[in-house]
Formats: sequence, structure tokens, C-alpha cells
Amino acid sequence: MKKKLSKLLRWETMLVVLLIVLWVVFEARDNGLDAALIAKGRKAKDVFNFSKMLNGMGVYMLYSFMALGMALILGMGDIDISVGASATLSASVMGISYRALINGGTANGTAFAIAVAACLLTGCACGLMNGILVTRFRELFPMIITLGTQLFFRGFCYLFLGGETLKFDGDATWGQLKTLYNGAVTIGGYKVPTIIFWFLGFALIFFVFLHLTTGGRKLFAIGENRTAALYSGIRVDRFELLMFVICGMMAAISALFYVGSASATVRADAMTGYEMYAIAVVVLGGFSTAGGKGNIIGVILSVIIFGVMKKGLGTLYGFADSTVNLAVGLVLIVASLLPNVMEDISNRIRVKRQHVTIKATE
Amino acid sequence: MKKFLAIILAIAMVMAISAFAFADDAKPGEGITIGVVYKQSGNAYFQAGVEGFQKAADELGFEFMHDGPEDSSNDGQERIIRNYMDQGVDVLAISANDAAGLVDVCKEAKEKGIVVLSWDAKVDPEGRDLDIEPASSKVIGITQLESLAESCGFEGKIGIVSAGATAPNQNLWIGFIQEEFANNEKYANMTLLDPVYGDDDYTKSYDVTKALLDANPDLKGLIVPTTVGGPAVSKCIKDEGLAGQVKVTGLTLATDMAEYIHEGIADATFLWNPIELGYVSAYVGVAMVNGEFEAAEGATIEVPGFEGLEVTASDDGGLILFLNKLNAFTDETVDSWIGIL
Repeated sequence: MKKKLSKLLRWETMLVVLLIVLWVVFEARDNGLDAALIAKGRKAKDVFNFSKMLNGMGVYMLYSFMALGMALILGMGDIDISVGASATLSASVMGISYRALINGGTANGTAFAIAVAACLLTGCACGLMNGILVTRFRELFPMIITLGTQLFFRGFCYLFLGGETLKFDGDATWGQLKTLYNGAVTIGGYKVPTIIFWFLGFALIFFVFLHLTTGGRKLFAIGENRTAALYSGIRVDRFELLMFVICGMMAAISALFYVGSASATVRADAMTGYEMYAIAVVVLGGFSTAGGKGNIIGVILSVIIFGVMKKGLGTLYGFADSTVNLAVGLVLIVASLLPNVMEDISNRIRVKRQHVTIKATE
Repeated sequence: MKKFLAIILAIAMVMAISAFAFADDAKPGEGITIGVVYKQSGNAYFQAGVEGFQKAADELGFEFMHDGPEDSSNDGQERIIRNYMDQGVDVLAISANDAAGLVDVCKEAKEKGIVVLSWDAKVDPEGRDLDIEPASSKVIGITQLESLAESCGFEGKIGIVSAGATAPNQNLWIGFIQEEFANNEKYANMTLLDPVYGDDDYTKSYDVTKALLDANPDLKGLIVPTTVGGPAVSKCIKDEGLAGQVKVTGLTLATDMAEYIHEGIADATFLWNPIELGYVSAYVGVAMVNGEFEAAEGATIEVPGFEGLEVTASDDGGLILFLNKLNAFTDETVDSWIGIL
């Protein structure tokens, strides 16, 4: 147990080191660019700094809520690649129901409350469907099941919306979604987007659940060994089902912010590929896809790391938006291989040492 | 741990070494940076647009960056726009995937004093200073009529094969064609038949063309203001053995029509030119930053190779600038556009 704890701590420390290294490199590059500009008699642009990073973080946090839900699923050794589509479906249902209610003469405020509730419920329903399928059909991989539901949900989005962009121009009530995403508070001279507080709030809840309650222990126990968990009295199926529902709900919460980010518009092709970003964040955060281990602190750190990395590569090195993923992929590969490689190395060293001691005693 | 750090540091050093090179010259665009954002990376159409920006950059001396999301997504464009804002661009030239979706971030850019232009695909009025588009409906209609009349020697009977009977764009263009035909003296020796509709379906377009040819053996030419219809109509004329006797023009893709243009079934067909769109957008952006041009109704701007560029009110309540110059695909030019348009 103690050994495990120190291992986890080490991973989080590593992420902090990675973050600091990234930051130092980016700052150096930024200063270099500014020096070059000043040498040419131009004004320094100071492309990369804490204030700009903080301010622009929002667009890299849209999938962070999904990632929290995904952490539950990966912790149990399952996977859910339908969350992107679940989120879009939730957003579509929200838009459609709001429009229907408004056209039906419901007051804006009421209609909005119902629409948001419908959005969250749709997310839960998507999660429920995944959960039922995964727990009932154990012979199928969760990856395949959720691939199916992903296509199914996405298909529904197109059925509801087609190629249309759903928007409510000049509707202040619906426009609240924009405030949800664009809102910011000024703390100590820094403009901090409120989405960061939302994320940290949810992350705290997930942290408490995963690491301080029996629920979290059950979850990791299931991830470690499902059969053992079952025989030790955990109602595995019911618990797993519930986690999938929560994961679906977190996708719907991501959807609320996403709609806000898109100037309060809904499209059927929104959030394509978001499930992969969510999985990437959680895996870099230290959750193993085999289940049984991980820490929410790591997830928080890796959300920040991905944001800083994408922003830095994009603004300082002129990487195209699509090319940035190359670096993200590289970090992910290194991150998932590193624990194995390190264990391998430490084993070899141990063997060598034993050899040495054996020889010495001879 | 050490190895990990070593790898990270190695990557870091490689990155830190690379640096930008800037060209220095006393040109009107000196010191101005334009951020070009298009719908999708790796799309030949937008590569052509970037060529236009490059051409303008060579002449004006501004710097520009260009990028688009790989998945044609709204949030991808937002990321790129925010990155460009951080990098201190003076102009954003955006071809939006979703006209409404980028309004908020564009508003933010405008508040920072950045000139926001949309080109090719608009950003909604609140988010932009000016939209730059190829041609007004009137110019699109008249250009096709003029070209066909020229092919027919300004005499004989001509017809129109359109898309759906309710297609708004096509009906607008056809309206201008009919109006011009009725009012301009040079078409006095010609007859214009009522339009027939191929519903943007290859087979249907082929069939209605055949029916029209059978009913009017003296037909001299057809206007096809739809990209699907163009090749279908041309194929029908070819199959009927009327190549050269019945001329075709219209709004078509170069890739679809190259074959028929080379065979002389069509002398020229039209579409817009993304290179020119990019070129003019760049000139507009630089002029706006330098305060030489303001986006207001009736304002005009001089761009080499263009005449009478004037800002007008757009249907969506914003401001728009039409190039009013279409890209003609002829026997000589069509091949250079294959795969792009």
C-alpha cells in the first residue's frame, strides 16, 4: 500500500516537472522572439505569459468535464468512446426542446430550465444505455459497445438537426450559455475564466469520491479485479452502471460549456473526437487503461499541461492547429510507456545488484 | 527519471534553436500581421486562397500566418483565432465554418482593435467589420448570359437548365438573367426559353436536357447555373451528337467540366476565384489597418487588377464587398484549376 502511494506521488511529481519544463522552454522562446523583434526596432509582443495563458485556457477545458467522467470509467478498466456523441446529442436535445417550448408559448426562463434539465437527462440516458449494454454483455469489449452507441447517438444528432445550425439570435435567456463559457472574474489583476472554477469544483467532488470514500475504493477494486470485487460483496453491475450514468452526465455538462463556446449555437457535427481528448487527458493524468489506479490530481495537471502545450506550440512555434496533435500524441505515448520502461529498468538494476552480492559472498 | 528529463530537455533545445526570419522593406504593409483562418487544413481550395494572400504579401510587405482545423470544426477555428490574437495580429481574415459560431470570439478581437474580415464564408454581422465575397447575384447572372450570347453570335434560341424550381440562389440569378435579356438591346435577335429544372440530380438534368433538345431542334445554347447540372447537360449534348451546335455555359467546377470545355461543348464556364478573394482581402485588411479605408457603405478601394470595388449593405444587415469578377474556365485555363475547383 505504501509503495503504491509513493508510486502515485511520483507520477504527479513528474507531471509537475513536465509542466515546469514546458513553461521554462516556452518563456525562453518567447523572450527570444521578443528580443528578435526589438533588435529589428519593433515592439515586443510577449506572446506567451501567465495572464494570456490563463485567459485563453477556456477553449482547452471544454473536454475537461468529460475527462472527469472518463476517469471513473477507466478506473474500472472500462472505456467509453461515445462521450463526444453523447454530449452532442444532449446539446441537440436541449436546443430542440428549447425551441419547441418557446414556440409552444412557454416563458423563456421556464423553457430554459427544462431544456438544461433535458440536456443533463439525455446525457444520463446515454450513459445508462452504455452501462446496461456493458454490464449485460460482458463478452463484448466496452470499446466496441461504445463505438456502436457513438455512431448511434451521432446519427440521432443528424436526425434531429440535419445540416442546420440551431441558434436563437438575441435571446438573452438562451444567451446565458455564452456567459457560462465567456464569464470571467478578475483576481489580483488576472482575468480568470469562470470555467476554471467550475472544473476545479467538479474535480474536488470527484477527488473526494475517488480517494476519500468507500465508493472510490470499490471502483478501484473493480478495476483491479472484477471477480474478486464481486466475491467480496460489491454489487459490481449496479455500481458500474451508475458510473456510466455519471460519465454520461459529465458529457452533458461539457456540452453546456461547448454550446456556450460556439456563440450559443448547436450543430450535429460538434465535439467530434472529444472522447479521444478526454481519454488522452485521463491517461496522461496517470489512469491506467487496465483499471485499478489513477488520481484526479493527475487529471487536473494533465488538463493544464495539454492546454499549455497546445497553446505554446501554436503561438510560439507556428505549429498548425492540426499539427499540435503530433506533440500531444508523442507525450501520450511517452507517458503511457514510461511506467513500464521504468519498472523494467529498476528490475534489471535489482537483478544486477543481486548478481553482485552473490558474487561478493562467493 | 533522468532519462525522461534528458528526452524533454533534448526536445526543448531543438525547439529553442529554431527562429523566425522576417523580411524588411518600406512597403504599406510593413509591420502588419494578418492571421488567415480557413475552414479546413489540407483543402486545395483554401491553398489557392492562401496563394492570393501570398501574392498580396509580396507586393505589400505584410506578414501573414494561415491555418484551419483538420476537422472543419467551430472550436478548432476558435483555438486558432485565439492563438492569433495572442500573437498580436492586426487583421483576422476568416472563412467561417459556422457564421454564428464565431461571433463571440470575433467580437472580442474587434474590441482589441483587430480588423475582422470574413472572406469566402461569412461571419455574422456583429462579429465582422466586412465580408468579402466573389460576386453579386446580378453579376453572376449577367456574366453567364453574356458569355453564352457571345458563343452563339448574339442570335438564336437559348434555354436554362437550373437546379430545383425553388432553389433560392438559382432563382435569383435567373431573375437577373431574364431582366437583362428583356432590357438589353444586344439580345434583340435572341429568344430565351423558360427555365427547366434538373433538381441538382445528374440523371434528371440529363433527361430534361434531352427533352428540351428534342422539343427545340434549333436550340443554340444552354445556361446551367448549377455545378451538378453542368456536366450532365454537356454529356447529353455530346451523346446527341450536337457538340459545337449547342453551346453550354454556367457555374461549374473546373474538374467536372474540363473534358467538355476541351471538346468545345462549352466555350467558357464560371466560378469564383479563391486566389483573387485572398488577394483582395489582404489589400482591404492592410488599407484598414493603415486607416486608408474604412468599412462603410459606399466606401471604395483601389486594388490592382480590380475596378469599382465598393462596400454595400448585405442582406444579413452587415457590410459586404463584392469582387464582381468571375473566374472563367476556358480551353487554356481550365486545366490549371482541376482538383482545386
